Amino acid sequence: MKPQQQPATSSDIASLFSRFGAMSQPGNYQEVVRQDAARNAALRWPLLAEVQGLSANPAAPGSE
Amino acid sequence: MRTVAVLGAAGGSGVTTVAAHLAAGLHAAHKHALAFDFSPDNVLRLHFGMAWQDTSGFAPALLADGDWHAATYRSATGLDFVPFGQLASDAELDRLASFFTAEPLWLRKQLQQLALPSETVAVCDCPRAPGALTAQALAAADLALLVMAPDAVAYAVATRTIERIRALGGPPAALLLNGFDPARRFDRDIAVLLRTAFQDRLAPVTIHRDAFLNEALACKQTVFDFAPSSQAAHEFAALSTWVLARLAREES
Repeated sequence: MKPQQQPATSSDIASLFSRFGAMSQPGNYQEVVRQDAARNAALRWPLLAEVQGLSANPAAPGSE
Repeated sequence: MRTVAVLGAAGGSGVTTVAAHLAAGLHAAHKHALAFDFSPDNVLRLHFGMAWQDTSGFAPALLADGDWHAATYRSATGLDFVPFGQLASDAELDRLASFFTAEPLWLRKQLQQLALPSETVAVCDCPRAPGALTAQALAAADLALLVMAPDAVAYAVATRTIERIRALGGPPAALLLNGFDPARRFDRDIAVLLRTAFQDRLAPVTIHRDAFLNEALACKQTVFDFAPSSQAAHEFAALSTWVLARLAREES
């Protein structure tokens, strides 16, 4: 059984349009998704966030 | 002769294990390889079956009479290797470092003079700390393979190390993630960060944590002999293939 797909929220769509506009390239989208994933990964761990020059997430790291 | 210098982003990265298995992977693929231990820890030889008590190696031979060629060995599986050897004191290590500082291209010249097939790949196991020995290996290398464990300090240091190699006029550098455990959130996060930060400087092969590696060393073997069907054996075979392709790209 396939998991149900979550519908995109209006804020997601607004965010996409604000970053790319309506005529953006799919490659750009993939690159930004990758960068967002890296940013989120770094923010979970204060030292990694510091190395990346980001402010660490105050939430406890390691929680799934 | 092409040379790969294997060095660590931080302590405990598994540099010697990677160097031993890269050389063994090339050998298993019927490519001529020479494993050269440039680390005073003198551990590389144990992967190839040399006796623990045997103190022979190129470093004591070089300091004794300048000729190290008798310190070349062949493993039971036919892989050629040069152990570092056991030095009598820290003063001897200082003397060796001074010699290498005065002769920065010594290793490059020595490797070029060896009567080995031109397609031979020399794999140098570099010491933990930067210094004259690592500089010697980098000066001889066509590719630097920077090994890092999934570790926050290693990640922090890796960028600086690659910049330092470039500043020293060293060879192109590639990063290898070693000891990866996909069940750990932190390891997965490090992998994501590496792919984004290093892109094509990150080797496309990741070496997963594999208990067979420890057990193989305990039996003085590589996983190619101890556990040829293991994940580690497959991954090091893939790494060897990628290193060959990367060396060819650097040549062209």
